[in-house]
Amino acid sequence: MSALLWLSSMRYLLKRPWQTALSVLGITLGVAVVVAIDLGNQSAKRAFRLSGDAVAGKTTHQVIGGPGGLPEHFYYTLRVDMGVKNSAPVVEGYAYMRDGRALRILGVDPFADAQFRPYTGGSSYIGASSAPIRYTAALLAEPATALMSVQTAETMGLRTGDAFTAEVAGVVRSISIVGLITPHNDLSRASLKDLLITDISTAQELTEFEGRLSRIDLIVPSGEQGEILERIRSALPSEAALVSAASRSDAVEQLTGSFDDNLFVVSLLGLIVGAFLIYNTMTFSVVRRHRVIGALRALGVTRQQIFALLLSEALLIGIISSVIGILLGILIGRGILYIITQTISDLFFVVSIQELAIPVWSLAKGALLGIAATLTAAFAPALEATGAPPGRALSRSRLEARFKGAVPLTSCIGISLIAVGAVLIFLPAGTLNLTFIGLAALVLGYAILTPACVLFFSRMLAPLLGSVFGAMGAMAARGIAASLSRTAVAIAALAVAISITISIDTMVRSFRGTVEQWLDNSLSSDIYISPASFRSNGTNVGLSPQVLERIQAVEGIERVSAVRNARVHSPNGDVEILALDTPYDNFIRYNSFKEGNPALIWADLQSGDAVAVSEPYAYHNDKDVGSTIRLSTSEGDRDFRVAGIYYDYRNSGSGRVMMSRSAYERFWDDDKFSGIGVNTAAGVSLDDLTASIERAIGGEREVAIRSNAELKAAAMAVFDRSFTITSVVRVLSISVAFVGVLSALMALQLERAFEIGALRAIGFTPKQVWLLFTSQTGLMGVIAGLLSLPLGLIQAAVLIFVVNRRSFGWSMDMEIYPLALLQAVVIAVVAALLASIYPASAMSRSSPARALHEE
Amino acid sequence: MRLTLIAISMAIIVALLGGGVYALARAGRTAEVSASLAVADALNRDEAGFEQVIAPRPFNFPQDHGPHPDYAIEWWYYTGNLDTPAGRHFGYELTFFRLGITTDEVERSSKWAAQQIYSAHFALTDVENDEFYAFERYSRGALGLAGATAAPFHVWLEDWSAAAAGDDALPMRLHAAHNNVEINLLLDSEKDIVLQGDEGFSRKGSKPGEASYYYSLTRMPTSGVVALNGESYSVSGTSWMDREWSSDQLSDEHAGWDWFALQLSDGRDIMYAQIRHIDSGKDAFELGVIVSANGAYTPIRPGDVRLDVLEQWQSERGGSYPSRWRLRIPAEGLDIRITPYISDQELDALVRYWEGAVRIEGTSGAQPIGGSGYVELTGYAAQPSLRN
Repeated sequence: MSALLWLSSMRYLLKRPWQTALSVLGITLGVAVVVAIDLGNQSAKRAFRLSGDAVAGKTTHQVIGGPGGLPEHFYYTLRVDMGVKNSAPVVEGYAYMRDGRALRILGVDPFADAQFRPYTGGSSYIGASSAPIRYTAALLAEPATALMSVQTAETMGLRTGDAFTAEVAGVVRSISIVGLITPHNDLSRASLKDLLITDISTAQELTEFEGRLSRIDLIVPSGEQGEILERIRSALPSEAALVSAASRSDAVEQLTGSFDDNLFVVSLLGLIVGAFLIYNTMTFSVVRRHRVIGALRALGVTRQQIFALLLSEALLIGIISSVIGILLGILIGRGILYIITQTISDLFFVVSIQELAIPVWSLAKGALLGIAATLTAAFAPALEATGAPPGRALSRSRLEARFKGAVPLTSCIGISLIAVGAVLIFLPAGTLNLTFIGLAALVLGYAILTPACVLFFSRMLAPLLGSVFGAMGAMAARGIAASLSRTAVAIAALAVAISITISIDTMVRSFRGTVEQWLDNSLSSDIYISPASFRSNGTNVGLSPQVLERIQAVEGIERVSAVRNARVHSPNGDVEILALDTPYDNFIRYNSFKEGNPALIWADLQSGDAVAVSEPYAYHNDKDVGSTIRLSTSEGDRDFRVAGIYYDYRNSGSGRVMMSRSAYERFWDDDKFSGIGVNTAAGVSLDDLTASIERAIGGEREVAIRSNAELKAAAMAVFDRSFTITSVVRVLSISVAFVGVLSALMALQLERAFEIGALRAIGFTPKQVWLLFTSQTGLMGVIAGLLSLPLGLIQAAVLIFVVNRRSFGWSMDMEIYPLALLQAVVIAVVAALLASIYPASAMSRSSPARALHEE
Repeated sequence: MRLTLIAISMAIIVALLGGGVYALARAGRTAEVSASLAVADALNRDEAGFEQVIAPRPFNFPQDHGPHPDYAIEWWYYTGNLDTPAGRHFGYELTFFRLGITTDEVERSSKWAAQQIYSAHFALTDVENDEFYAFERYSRGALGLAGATAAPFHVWLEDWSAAAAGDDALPMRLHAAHNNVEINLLLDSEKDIVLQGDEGFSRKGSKPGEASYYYSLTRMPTSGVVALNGESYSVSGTSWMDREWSSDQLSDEHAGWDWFALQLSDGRDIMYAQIRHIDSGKDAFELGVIVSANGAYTPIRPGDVRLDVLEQWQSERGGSYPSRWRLRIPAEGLDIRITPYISDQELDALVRYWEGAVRIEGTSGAQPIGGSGYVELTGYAAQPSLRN
């Protein structure tokens, strides 16, 4: 390709800096959204993996106990009697600082641990004199002693020999640091972050887990696994399970998996908007140069050269925009990471992730996406431009005629795309990925239908506006149809962006409504008592039976009920148990059964043979009333009949199984409680009873005592926080759409110079031109807003009934909020009007003589 | 066609970009978690409340076979030379160390809390194949993982143990196994207990406290099985047991020691040790005992023994050890050469040292004399030596 051609191209791009900048901005935003969400997500995943890696070390397998852990003597059996030398006992827990920060407690036997986690064991420090013996000695012999990494100590302002206080298992403890670990690389630094390494004795005492172990780690070389694992399995205590370390971390990833799915939907929506904008800007950039292209062809430039020129130009813009987009994405990614961390800490387990991991692959994905989308978007217009006969550019009118002529065909394509999308979404055996592809096809099909809809609206509105506003009104409406190739694309972009806000808004509100109602139905006590630091992080934190006894003895209580959340094993993986100890009256009020009669279920649960399962559990495990589920109990594997299915919107991965407390205590060795609910007797004030309960429990335990309303508010606050990220995407998609509309309108303004000139020449004042253009834009906003409504609701329905159902197993009621829909239309109009401010005033100021002369 | 060319080159650009990025992403993933530790000197021996060894004490058996938790360090040291009926020679070492952390009684609710750390070394010398196997273990004196009792006599670390075979401490059974190396031995004693030094009060330096309580069984007929790499060998021979406990027997000025346990073919046993000062030659300390065939014993006094190093052995792990000696005791008419059965019997333990089976050849008066024994050399490795 000749340098001259390149120069002409550069000249064109540079002479229209605003146009070029808008193209770049559009692609940049699209890439930034994708990169930011991906980075946030990847960072969170990396942080889980690292903290998992640091704690798992070189472990290949683990013996894990039931909810009450493993009896510690099993370690002796395993190591000494059975001679499994590569074994290391572990007790885990969390220590919470005053500021809410949490350290993960890793209690190990330093002597057994060296091969597993080099930083905890003695033998890897040969050459460091007798230091290992000294620190080990302190860890073993002195209570509440610990090691941490130099960096963790720095952030806490601690040095060797210092002590700090933290709440562990409900009791405030003082912990002294007897040694600091210096990580040798970034990976180690990240792995050791917020990790508190103690001797197993200290961990047991801090977490009140005396006599028990969280698990036993094993290293079994891959060649010898069969025989050794079989031997271990046959000796396991009945509640325990032997699992591979990989499957263990898979389980953690599964836990957050459905959350990832939701994030993916969100980033996909962002991507659709971004791709749309890229297409939009590229089309304008190419189509607007028909005249130049015609001239070049007349000068002897070949079609192939033109095509190559346009694509190279697109490639250049794509690369530049992608690079800027990636940088922007990294910036936004930090904010997104914070939100993700918050959500995961709320929903799953305590994490503290500050470092944004920047995997090259995520950046490359963004770049490839930006470049590929730009090239693809440029392909069709470039092909069209190449078809222009030399010497004469396609006239605008001919172009528009061609565009309009194609509307029936494109509409057919659009309808078939929608049909294909719908089939993919509602395919009964469909996977989540198919649903996403279907959703994308549906949105694209809808966008392709936009020109037909715009024609329909403008034809319908022209007489109406004409009768209300006179000729100007009719002109505004017809003008939209006249420049359909420009207006339709801008309207489609805006409509898609607004539809995303509608769908997210509708989904979140519906979800919220469902959850609120569920909380109302299921929280039937007046006061709730729980361990201060309880989070669903799989540790054995709980209230002791003594606390329950003390509460029961308090005057002014009508009923007491207690729950235990615990994780038990089953032949098919871990299962979350909700063990209920609640009077019949309370249970009957627990009005949250999807299937089954509460009175009958209560009786069934008391028998100990039956359980009720949560809706997500039933969905994920394909269970129904009458099916059986198998759990590993202290009496061996046992089948339980499913007596009912209850609604449960707690995010618990693959759902929970409800059983009676008596059955739970019979089958598992665990006497703790995760929460206690109290109903006040008639005539007793909530505040008085709360105070009496506080006194009864005494000061040495840290418990949270909350009223029904407070608990609900806390639950809803968590709910709202977990949707922060969706709001961020909403804002991003609206800004992308705004840029799209702006660039479309500017293109329109430049193209219509002749039309404006003619209007001015026949007596239109600048103000009238401004008014015409602005009302036209406003009208476009209205059309986009209206078009966005059905699309938004369809997307919301897909999110609610398909995506949420398939990834979480929740059923929700979809609620349509008219005010929210109105709001969407208003946003569309405001966005369109805002975008028109500059082009409209530029247009009204243009000189009619020059505009006409140019033509 | 140009178009096709352009399309192909674009595809290549995209592929290269993607491939390069993928390679970069992979490259970053090979790092391992690795870290090291700096530690406060959390325990000060003076504050830990241990008794000092400053004067002789009466010994009391079987109690003294068991642990002495009032003292900071204690060991049960077994070494021996064994032969198969076909004459294949093995040397073995099985040692249990008790390291007291503190004598303070702290109320702990976890059974894992421990005031004693146990360590054990197990080594086997396979002379025929010039192979040396050595293993080290640590555990805590808690939860039955490791410990010691006097009656019945039992000291163990997981499944390594020395234990009374019957009601009395003797005969005793030793068992240790790791990977493909195992010993299962029964030890009795031909001679009475030898109280080293001044009735068991054994000085190691000139300062008070630089001493230990020390007794030995110097000639223990041994029989049993050595298993190596899947083969079992029935063996018999002679073992030696050393028992010591103290709190502060060596100071920082001591560089290490050279210690000899020699069992002569005429029934005499000799223990001889030199404590080396960091200024070589200065304040070197000697101790030892000569046990006659009938069990009567006399301490060795400074100047009684002449020891000359004939060879050095260079450890590939760093450090140079004396490796062949000439030992003369003129009063006994003894002139012997001591040669390691194999050169490399260095234990690559947390604290590295050499402990190996040796062959004895020489003369007693005009008579030729032979025998076997064990030599321990500490403080020669390229790392700080075991002090406390």
